Amino acid sequence: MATGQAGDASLVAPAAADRNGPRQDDVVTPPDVRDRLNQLRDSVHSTLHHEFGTLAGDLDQLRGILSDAAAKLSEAFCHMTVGSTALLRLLDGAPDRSEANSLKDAASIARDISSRTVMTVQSLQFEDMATQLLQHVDRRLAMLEVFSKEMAVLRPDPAGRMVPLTEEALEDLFRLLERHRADLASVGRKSVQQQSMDSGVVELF
Amino acid sequence: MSKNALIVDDSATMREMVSYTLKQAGFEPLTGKNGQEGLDQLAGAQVDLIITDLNMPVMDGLTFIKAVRAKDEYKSTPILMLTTESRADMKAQGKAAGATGWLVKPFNPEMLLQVIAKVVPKT
Repeated sequence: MATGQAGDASLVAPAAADRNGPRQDDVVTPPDVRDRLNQLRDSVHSTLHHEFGTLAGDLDQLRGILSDAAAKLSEAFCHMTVGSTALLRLLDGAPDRSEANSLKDAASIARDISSRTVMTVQSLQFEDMATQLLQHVDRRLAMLEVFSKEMAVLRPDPAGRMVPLTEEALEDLFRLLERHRADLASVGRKSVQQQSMDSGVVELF
Repeated sequence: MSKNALIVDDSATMREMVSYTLKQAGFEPLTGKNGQEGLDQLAGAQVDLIITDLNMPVMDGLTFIKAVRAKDEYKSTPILMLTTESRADMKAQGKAAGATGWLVKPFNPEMLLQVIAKVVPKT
């Protein structure tokens, strides 16, 4: 899994330090706290990377379902339109056909239209699955928004300086990260596993 | 005399598609947007078949089925769960709650009618 590069998490960003030189209010960070801060930034990056990958997968699944539904509905629409037109022509009465042949053809066209109706009813159910998938993505995005706000303390200020963090504050952030990971994992299971609009299984108890 | 079927689903499209299909088989469809609305419908009519979704606001499908089975007049009425959920543990919960069968969405109308023919007693 990609973890990204957090870089050196010293509490004064190198660019700011070079530009301004060392200042009295610069905070010196013990190496072990600095290592923990780097670890935390790596973990946050890795969590976000994983979550956005999952969201991209969900949206790809949604795209597949919509694309399949659109293709099946288009096919059904074309068949039904062509069939209806042919049926109307027959009902209008073609002079060169016997009545019996016309009825036979009409019945065949009607059967074809009816079978396309089955496909239409099945494909129109895409709305339900798409809605459920989007609700799932919404829940995940809302959690990620809270997560990124709470982890905003890891961003340097406009001058490039990191907010001073005590060991205790750092440990709190690690606990927060774990809590968010657990929350994201619990919302991770989605009921929609379908990748297309093919009909689902039936089981009688 | 036509039979009544109760369709419970929070998706308007699903209620519409199931109603359309059941009408082909001569059922008179009643609908509810969640389990509570389903129970409200049962209070006012005799129903011969129930088709319900699982994940719904207000009252989910499992709670709804348990509430239906608690009523003496609906101990043996066929209840089909129609849901996107296909996990075995969820099916087991549905069976334990009193569902007659489990259909994973999207449903094929012809297949649904075949299932209904199997579970609804002929009069």
